[in-house]
Amino acid sequence: MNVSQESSDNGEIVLRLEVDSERVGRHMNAAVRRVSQRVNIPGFRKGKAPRAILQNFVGKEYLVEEAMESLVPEAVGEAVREQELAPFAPPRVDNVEQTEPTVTIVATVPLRPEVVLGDYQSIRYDEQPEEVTDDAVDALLMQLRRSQAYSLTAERAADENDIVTLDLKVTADDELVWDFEDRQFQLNLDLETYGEVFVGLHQGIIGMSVGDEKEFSFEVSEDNESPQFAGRTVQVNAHVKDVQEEVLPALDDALASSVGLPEVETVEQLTTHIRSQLEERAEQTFVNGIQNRLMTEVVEGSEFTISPIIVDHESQHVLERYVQQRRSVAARTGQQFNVEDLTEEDVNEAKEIAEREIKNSLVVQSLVEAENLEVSEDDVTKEIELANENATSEEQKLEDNEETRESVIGFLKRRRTIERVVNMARGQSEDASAAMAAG
Amino acid sequence: MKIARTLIRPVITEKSTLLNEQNRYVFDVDMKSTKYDIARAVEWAFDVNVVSVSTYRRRGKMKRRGFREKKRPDVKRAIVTLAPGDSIVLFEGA
Repeated sequence: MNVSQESSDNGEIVLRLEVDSERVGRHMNAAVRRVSQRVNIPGFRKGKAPRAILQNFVGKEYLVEEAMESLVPEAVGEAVREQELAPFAPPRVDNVEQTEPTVTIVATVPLRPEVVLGDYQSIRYDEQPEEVTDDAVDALLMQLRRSQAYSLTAERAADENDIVTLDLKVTADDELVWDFEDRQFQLNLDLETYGEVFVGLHQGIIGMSVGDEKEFSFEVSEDNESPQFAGRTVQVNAHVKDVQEEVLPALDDALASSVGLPEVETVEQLTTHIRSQLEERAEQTFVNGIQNRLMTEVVEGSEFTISPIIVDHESQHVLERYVQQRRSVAARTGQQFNVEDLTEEDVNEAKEIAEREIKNSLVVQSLVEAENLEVSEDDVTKEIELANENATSEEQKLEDNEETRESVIGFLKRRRTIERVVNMARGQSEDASAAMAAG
Repeated sequence: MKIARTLIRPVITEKSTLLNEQNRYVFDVDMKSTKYDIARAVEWAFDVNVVSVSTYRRRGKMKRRGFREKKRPDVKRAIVTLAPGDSIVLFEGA
């Protein structure tokens, strides 16, 4: 096989391969054998028809095409190895020319994209994580109390947040919409959670006592989301059978210890715990936000030479993921989704996503190379142990071998580099970022 | 017997292809044709010399479709041996 490099530009190398007749013949023979096993020719058992008859039956082009399917990848793969190239994605075959008895193939090999990193070291963000307010802590404490609330029969008129059992008849512009006569319909008079229709209904019922019967009506606005009621006058006929009030448990040490958190036995400890959790969450959200902004900024400030073949290849993966998602969504509604249903818009969007993903991963890789952080053997061992402690099944557990260690080193380097760069952007000192990386 | 109507179709099957190696070729022929007719027809159609002709009749199979039972037509089949050096391109498939 004769291989020559035609040109190299845009992160690609174009190869011209002249495949000798011996190799072409070998692949033709294999193709004949394969096709002959597949095709049913009257008068012959499968695989028994002579080559000439098979060729007459399926046509020479078919056999050649079959032969090329195995010849082209083999020849291109060999040429890439021979030229000592490192393709970043599968090479693209541009042309296959039959120059009997040889075959000439022109293929483009995408090389590792080149990245010139922008000045990431001078990026600074002055913002701080959102402060955790007392209201946020109180809201969580209230949520906890409501989760342990119980209901008691109230010897009074119905009020907000009570649970009322009633016979209910609701009509909208004289059309019967709900009829819950003798069906023990329960209504939670929670004004905050429910929409406009229920608020109108709730406000009418608040103040009614057991045994009360009342007719009232209210107007619903045109833009109400429920089409049964939008823009109509709703008439309600209600007969209250029972009123239950929600009893919240007291915020005391018993409630605090019932949560079951280690070392939390008093209200003070619980409040401190909730506050620290909220602060941790706020810090995490803040760091994630900074990280996303930083990555976008670094990507925008960097220069890339990426072969379009790599983007096309990656966009195929993106499309596959997208098709899978659409299929599972469609399956839930009893519909089908096929690859043919993809629009040009989907394909273009997939390309954009693919390009963004490639650029992001290239930037991370370049940052890792630029920062060149050390990862010790101990760190790797600790990380593997930690992963195995958190594994929920035997299958998830990592085997401590060369391959695993290699990938854990890569993972740790990426994580620490990102942490370090984010800390730099937050104006935190080298020591602090080093300590965080080690932790 | 008209020469042009004698040969109906060549028989190209696994078995007949094996016979080709012995310079023998198989045809479906007209029921009324004689060995003489067949030899002349093959010589005229393919410009070869025929050494011998063997014939046999393939009985048509009985085929049922619902209640109706029908017999497929009988076919006369001939195995023609050519003189050494002669061959029929049609059977070589090229």
